[in-house]
Amino acid sequence: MSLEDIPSEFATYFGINETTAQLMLSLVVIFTLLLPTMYLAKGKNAVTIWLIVTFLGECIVLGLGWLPFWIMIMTISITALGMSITISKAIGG
Amino acid sequence: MGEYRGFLFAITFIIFFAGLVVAIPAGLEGQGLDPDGVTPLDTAIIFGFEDYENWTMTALNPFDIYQYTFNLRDWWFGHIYGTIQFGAKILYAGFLWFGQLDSCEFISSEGINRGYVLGSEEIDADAENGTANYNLRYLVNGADAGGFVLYWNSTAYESSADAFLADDVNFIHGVGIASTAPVDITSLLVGLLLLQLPNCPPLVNLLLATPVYTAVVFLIWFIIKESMPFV
Repeated sequence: MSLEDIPSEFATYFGINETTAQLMLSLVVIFTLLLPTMYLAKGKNAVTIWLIVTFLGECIVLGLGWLPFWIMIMTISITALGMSITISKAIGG
Repeated sequence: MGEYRGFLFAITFIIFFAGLVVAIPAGLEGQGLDPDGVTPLDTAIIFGFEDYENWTMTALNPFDIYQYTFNLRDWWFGHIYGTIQFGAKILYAGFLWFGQLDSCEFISSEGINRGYVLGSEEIDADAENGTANYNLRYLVNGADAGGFVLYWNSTAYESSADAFLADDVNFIHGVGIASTAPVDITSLLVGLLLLQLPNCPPLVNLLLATPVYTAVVFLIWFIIKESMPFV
């Protein structure tokens, strides 16, 4: 069994939809990385660090084929929105 | 003041969005697009080959053979008794060919070795929405011989055998699957903006494309407004 097959095995074992299994396992991977980071990285630049770790976690689950690619586009879109708001506030006042 | 802030917002959003999308590591873009997905720009973009040869069943000669020169070798493609066989010609003195082939094995996208004779049942088993992707491997030494894609209109023909009977199958032999992201990213961005992102629900695609369209429209409006003071 390869890592890519884990969601289907998980889905079969628990009798759930494969997409649900993929989402559940992806959340486990991402939060395993993110929660300790959120605990350790606090302060002014914490959000940037959280975002970097979230991206890394998403890269792992995307690479494994557990999540569809558009999740990454969505994260990028939200990040770009956040950065644009911050920058336009900083420059435009 | 609000409009200038909007202008700053739109321009930084477009820059950050495009920059981050282009920075996505190659290999994470998913499985590529189906031929009837995004309005085809170029088959090389769709399948990510740097160089390719494409042909259809109608290009085959009366003996159901297609021969071509590609990637510094002469190739032989045959549709023999409903199967596909494929190989590079073994030439003597650089031009004499006595019918010997350096045959290629077909490795499916799931890593199954289909051997050097590919049947319609195997194609149907490997195909998704009328597209079957294979890696080609020389039978003798196991070296990489590129990629092979065959596709047909799955709406018109239920199975590959039907499409073969109707002479309506397309083939692509490509080499050098792009290791850099931009080729795939181009089709991805086009797919995003045309609401045809692969494996993405249309509503989610619409939500993802709306901020990009809004920012572009706002920028155009702002530039026109600033360049024409009476507006």
